[in-house]
Amino acid sequence: MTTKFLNEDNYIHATKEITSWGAHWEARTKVITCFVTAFGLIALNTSWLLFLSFNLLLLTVLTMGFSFKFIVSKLALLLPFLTLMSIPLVFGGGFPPTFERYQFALLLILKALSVSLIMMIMILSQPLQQLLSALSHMHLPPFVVSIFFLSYRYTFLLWENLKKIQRALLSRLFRSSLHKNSFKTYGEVVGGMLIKSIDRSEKVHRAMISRGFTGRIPASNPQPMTKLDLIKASSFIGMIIVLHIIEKW
Amino acid sequence: MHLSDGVLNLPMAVTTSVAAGAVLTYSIKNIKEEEIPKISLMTATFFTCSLISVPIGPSSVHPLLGGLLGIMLGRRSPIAIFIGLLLQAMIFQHGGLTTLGINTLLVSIPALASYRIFTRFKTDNKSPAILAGFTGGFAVFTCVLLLVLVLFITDSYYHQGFFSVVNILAISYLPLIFIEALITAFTITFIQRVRPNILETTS
Repeated sequence: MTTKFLNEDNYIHATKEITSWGAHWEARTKVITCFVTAFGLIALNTSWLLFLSFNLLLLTVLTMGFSFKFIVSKLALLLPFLTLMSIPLVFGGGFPPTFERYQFALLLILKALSVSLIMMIMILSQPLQQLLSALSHMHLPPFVVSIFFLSYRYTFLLWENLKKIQRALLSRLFRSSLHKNSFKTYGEVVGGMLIKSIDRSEKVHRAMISRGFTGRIPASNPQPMTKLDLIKASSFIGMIIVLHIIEKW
Repeated sequence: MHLSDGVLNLPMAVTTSVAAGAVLTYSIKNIKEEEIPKISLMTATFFTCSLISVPIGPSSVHPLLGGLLGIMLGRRSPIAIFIGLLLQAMIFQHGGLTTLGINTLLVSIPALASYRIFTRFKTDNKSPAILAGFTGGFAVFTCVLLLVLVLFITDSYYHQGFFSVVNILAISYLPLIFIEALITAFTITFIQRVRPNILETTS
């Protein structure tokens, strides 16, 4: 898990270099479009239409500059969950499984994979700071945006702390197991981190107050919305509407 | 615990998103500016601690810490859970967009219930270990119960047959109930021993 977490961090920073049409798409329009498209997709119930939309989204993500290997690595993260859901869905009703059960599992897989590609467009097609800045200009409660900014920042610092604690435990021959002492150690590690965080939060608050904090984290001005952004948004939403019309036909 | 996109149908996804919005509104109500650093740091801490893996046979599980979150953050816990889920989506692309609402509710409702239970039954002259352990286990149990309920309502394919999704999920989460109970009990005991005032002033 440790390596995985750090690798994911590298992936996030790697995407900052992308200068594709996806990166230039104004983030607020992109976030709203992605949510609408995702809800539209899960309302589809025809496997070939979902297969078509998955391929269209895959093509879209590829044109945004993501490598095929990267996309596969992201979609592969869904595999354990999809396997856990699909096997009982297909075989749960007994043998031989019915066609409807296969179809239901297939729909679930296609929906999950397609929306995962939408998430990739929404989250990874621009530097994360640009997305966070856009969120702060979307009329969300300023407290929530401030908490999100700070939590994101401190997650990486605390993860470094946890790794140090893990190394210290390993040097004392700690072995993770289901023994009571092992849980005591986990409990004390979590308790220690919580106490440290509360202490730190008081210092952070004083530091923020001294810099004029009033509950809102200042963010740069939002990127202006252009006609091109609206065309991009309309293309996505238009695609979903067309797919629904075909399904109803 | 995160349900992926596609598990819920559109009416369920919309209903749960609206309900999660209502829970978040309740959680944000009357929030003070001085609470922001504390909630932020606690969110980051819970998110980080939930990445600790506990080995079970050939596999491993990650604690949810819903009960502990409820005890520590009280009515503010849904904010931490919602932001934790957003962080998971941003860092690992786990969870989903259409299931963000249900995933928030699945952990928030048990966390709020845990907070009520802990504050209602906590006494000054007794060790809080048993109560904290119960609260930790109760939070996971309630979370699984809600998950089963949602899948029951969503589609009959999820609960038909002995090897149904519902049965397999319920069995696979059983060990986590005991793991969470123990971790919560030891964490609260540690905090009570080192800094008892934290438990008195939580939310």
